[in-house]
Amino acid sequence: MALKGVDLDLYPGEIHVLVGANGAGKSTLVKILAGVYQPDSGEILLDGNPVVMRNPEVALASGVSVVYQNFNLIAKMDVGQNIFLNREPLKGKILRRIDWRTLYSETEKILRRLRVAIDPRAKIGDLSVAEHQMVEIAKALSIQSRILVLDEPTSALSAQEIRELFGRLQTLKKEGVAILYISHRLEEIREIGDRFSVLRDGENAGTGHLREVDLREIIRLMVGREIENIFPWEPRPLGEEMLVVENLSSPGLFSGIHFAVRKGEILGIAGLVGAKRTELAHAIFGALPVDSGRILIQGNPITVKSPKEAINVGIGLLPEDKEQHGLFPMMSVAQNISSAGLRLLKRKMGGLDLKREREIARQFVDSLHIRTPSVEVAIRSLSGGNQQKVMLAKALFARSQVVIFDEPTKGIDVGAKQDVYRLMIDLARGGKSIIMISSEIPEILGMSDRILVMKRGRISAELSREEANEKRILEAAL
Amino acid sequence: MKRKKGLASFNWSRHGTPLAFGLMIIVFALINPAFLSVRNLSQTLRQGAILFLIVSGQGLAILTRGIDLSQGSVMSLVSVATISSIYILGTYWGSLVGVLFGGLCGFINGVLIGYLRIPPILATLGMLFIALGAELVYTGGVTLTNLTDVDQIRLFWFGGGMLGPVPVPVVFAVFTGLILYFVLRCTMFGRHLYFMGANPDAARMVGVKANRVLVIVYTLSGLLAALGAFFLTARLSMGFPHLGEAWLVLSIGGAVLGGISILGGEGGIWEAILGTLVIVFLDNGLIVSGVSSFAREAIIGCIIILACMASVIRRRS
Amino acid sequence: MNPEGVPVHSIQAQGKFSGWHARWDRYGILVIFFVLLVLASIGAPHFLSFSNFLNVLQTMSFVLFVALGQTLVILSGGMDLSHGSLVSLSCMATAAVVAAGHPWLGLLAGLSVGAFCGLINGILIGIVRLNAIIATLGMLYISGGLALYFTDGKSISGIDVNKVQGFHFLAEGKLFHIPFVIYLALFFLVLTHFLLRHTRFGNHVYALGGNEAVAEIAGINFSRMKIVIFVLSGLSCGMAGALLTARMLTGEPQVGAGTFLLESIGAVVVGGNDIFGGVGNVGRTAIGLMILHFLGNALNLMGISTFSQQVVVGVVVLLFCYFGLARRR
Repeated sequence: MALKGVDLDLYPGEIHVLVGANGAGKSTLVKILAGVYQPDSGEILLDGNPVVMRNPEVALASGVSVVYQNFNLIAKMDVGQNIFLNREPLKGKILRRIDWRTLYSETEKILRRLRVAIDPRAKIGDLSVAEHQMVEIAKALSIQSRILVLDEPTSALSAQEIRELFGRLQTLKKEGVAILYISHRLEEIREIGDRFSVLRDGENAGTGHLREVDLREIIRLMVGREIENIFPWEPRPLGEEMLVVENLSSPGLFSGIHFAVRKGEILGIAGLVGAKRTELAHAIFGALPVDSGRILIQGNPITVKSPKEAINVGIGLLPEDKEQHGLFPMMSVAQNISSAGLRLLKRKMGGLDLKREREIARQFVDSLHIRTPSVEVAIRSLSGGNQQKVMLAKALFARSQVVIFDEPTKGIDVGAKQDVYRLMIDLARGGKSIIMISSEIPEILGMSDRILVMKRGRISAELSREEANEKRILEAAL
Repeated sequence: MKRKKGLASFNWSRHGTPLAFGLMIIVFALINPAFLSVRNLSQTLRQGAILFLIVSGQGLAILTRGIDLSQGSVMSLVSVATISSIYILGTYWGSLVGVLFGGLCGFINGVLIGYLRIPPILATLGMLFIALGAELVYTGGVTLTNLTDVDQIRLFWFGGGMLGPVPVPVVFAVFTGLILYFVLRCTMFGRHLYFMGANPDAARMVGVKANRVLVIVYTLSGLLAALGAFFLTARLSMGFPHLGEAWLVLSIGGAVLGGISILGGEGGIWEAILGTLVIVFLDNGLIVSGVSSFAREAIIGCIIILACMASVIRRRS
Repeated sequence: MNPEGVPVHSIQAQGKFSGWHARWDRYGILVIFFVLLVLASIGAPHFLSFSNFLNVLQTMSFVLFVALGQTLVILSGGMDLSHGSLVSLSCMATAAVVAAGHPWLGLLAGLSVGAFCGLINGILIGIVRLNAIIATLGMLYISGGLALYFTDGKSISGIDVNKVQGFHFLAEGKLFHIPFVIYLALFFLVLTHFLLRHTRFGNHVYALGGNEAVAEIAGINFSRMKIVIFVLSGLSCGMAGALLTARMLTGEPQVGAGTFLLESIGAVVVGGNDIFGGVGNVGRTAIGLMILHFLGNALNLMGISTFSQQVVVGVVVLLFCYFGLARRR
């Protein structure tokens, strides 16, 4: 039940900001508006008339355009083709053929209207992320959309590009387009938004004018309770330095990364999408090449050229996209748990000790409270939260001393989140070093002993738990 | 979860194939009672043993989300190479060289797929034509029958002889089956294979060296097809340039029917055995019922499609 | 399906589409072709003669139909493995009807058979969403088996040349000294080019090959597209099969079993089309096919057997595959 009854209204020429924590229902709401999902109940009214968004085509025809975070563009085609996909202008009476000239000239017109300098014949694959976004917005304009939904539009943009985007949004405002602007970035929504709505646990927790509230109020509406209560953090003794990263660089991704994590410490890494935190994590884990810098484990420099080597020296990673990078869906819970540490199950005679594998898996199921009928069932039948716990068990089994969590509570329900937090604290208390990458600022503030803020591939700030607050993190991240 | 009623309550995906198998046996027996004669059954079992070897190889490739289209022509190549080598080197060394040819083809496939990253369909398709062309060039399309009597007798034992009450190929197949079962279930290599089929990206993240695994997998596929060809050749005592033609469809059919999902990551030796039995009895049953070889190929093609559809639907739900 | 489209950084990882790299991508294949012609004229006697060229082009024309169909399929992101046996089946169907005395109905029969099998392929792939490889592989066996089944493996003969002169002309006749079938092939080449470059359908084919998920979100009907694409692919095989019957005046149940499949895919790959779809055109396929055929012809003239040629062609296709893929990374 992703949405429990959301009331939202949108006026032409307004930029309405939609905020909410992960899992609050923002993307579900958007997908319903876009015609991808059907609501179980309730209705959508356009100009006072009920509209059923049966499918994406109907939504588009009704004037709703969504620009997702992951762009709906075909890299192998060019700008004009993408903008006019499935709406290519035709000419000729007998032989209906594509009017390429009109297509490209119209594309040019729209791009000029947005004051964007892109060649309509440029292949999408050659353009930057910011340019992709402009193409997406141009696509929406070409359909004469009256409602433009922007999902985290600034997450991959530079400061300059954000300013340009805001300028163009203002132009659209004046033309009467209604913009639903979804964002995590509380600082910037003030600058661009008129009104706001806060989604929490599938409901609209509050609507108002941005000029009339302060950010703390919005955070309170988002979270629903005091921050301190959710996170089971308490101080604990810290040991020596476990992992030291010196001057790590990977061209085009990040550079000059320099930090250390101690035993028993939880280091939070904050930043916006595009800050390359995941790439850094993958590089430490050996899944991405680095061209300079070094990594030390307990004072010893190590080379990590592959994930296998990283696992061997005790680095574990719980990837952000567990479907893609972490899980083996049709394999059993036990097999998933042991997957990163198979070498530990080797028998002297050759072969693996399957009995021990099952036993160990059962132990983890107990200690981590993983809800599963048995360790033999396929992991894909487990809920998201329990899958995450299996991932954790996988890292623990592989004897990880340093565990990197990349967005550990993404897409998990509140109850399971609590479990994950408690497990993290337990791990830390047990002497493990934890690096936690998260886009949820409350989570970073609540769980970390120290916080690094990354911005476009560099560390822009290092804050202790005491000196950290939302404002400082956002300032460093933007 | 709602309790399904009637037909839906039957676990089709698990018990469907065995049930179909049982029904099939009954139908064929009814059409022609000779189907159940000892002679027919033991002949079928012999074919089954050979098919099992080939299906296992194909199964390994399919498990890693690949496929080996070259098995048929590699078999032909091996048949020809074996007879030629025996002519030069004598029975035992010649046989070994012949089989190794198959391994070599498989190895080349593995390198093309694992290191040069050529998609398995294209690589093995290319190998199909290369192996086929090569052996046709060598033989000019002519069957090789130039063995000495001594060699012929020795060779025949492999394909037509018995070890006690059991035909030699069957013994070998059982032996191979046991080894493969152990490897797939209990070794790191086997586990890595499943990882690759289940989720190639995640497999990389846990340290699976995909290129090495793929080389081994396709080499094995080639070797197993070669062994199958060897036993067939041994029985015929001839190097037959078109030996493998009919076997590719049987190999893919056997793997997929038994339950080795075409999408990778699912299935094992049990499934290979089941699939082999179904295919070999189906093929035999069709022959005994008087269906022409051409229709047989069409029918098995149909069945492959149906089995894959089932696989896809199952994975989707 | 991922309604949120393609992850940001993976769009950029597609690589450069402009610059001098792209110039080699675009024209390199022509360079290779001319180099081949030069080498062939040096190494093979009688290569550089008008009659030899015409001969090669005539043989090539039959395969070009199939290669055009394959181009369509591959550009849309799929692959059609049933090409060889569909040609055989159409050949048989055509021969059967022609032998019964209806040449033009025979042509229609061949085309219909190809289209029908293509329809089945399309349904399996577009509606059941089966993997194209598996579906067309199955179809390969089914149609191959059927082609043999109806005559128990024997060919259909007994077509009187005099009664089907018009039909026979299609394949063997000459217009201004150039074999008519070449004109036919050229016509279909231009037709397919027009289809791909100037119609919405064609644009959508490229879209599917470029990114299926995004194409679907834009409202392109995956099922309908796939069905049409595979029907056209089957039709192209039907055309080839019917024309082969017109040429040989017999129905050979295994006529397509040889190199049709390898050449149809090979031409697309060698020509430089993206094997995963979304980029390329029929011109490339035509050049790719010419490279394969002229190479084979040169080898023939140098006295190398047809079996060896097959090996060489297989190796060449794999080589181009590898280099094509390596460049994409």
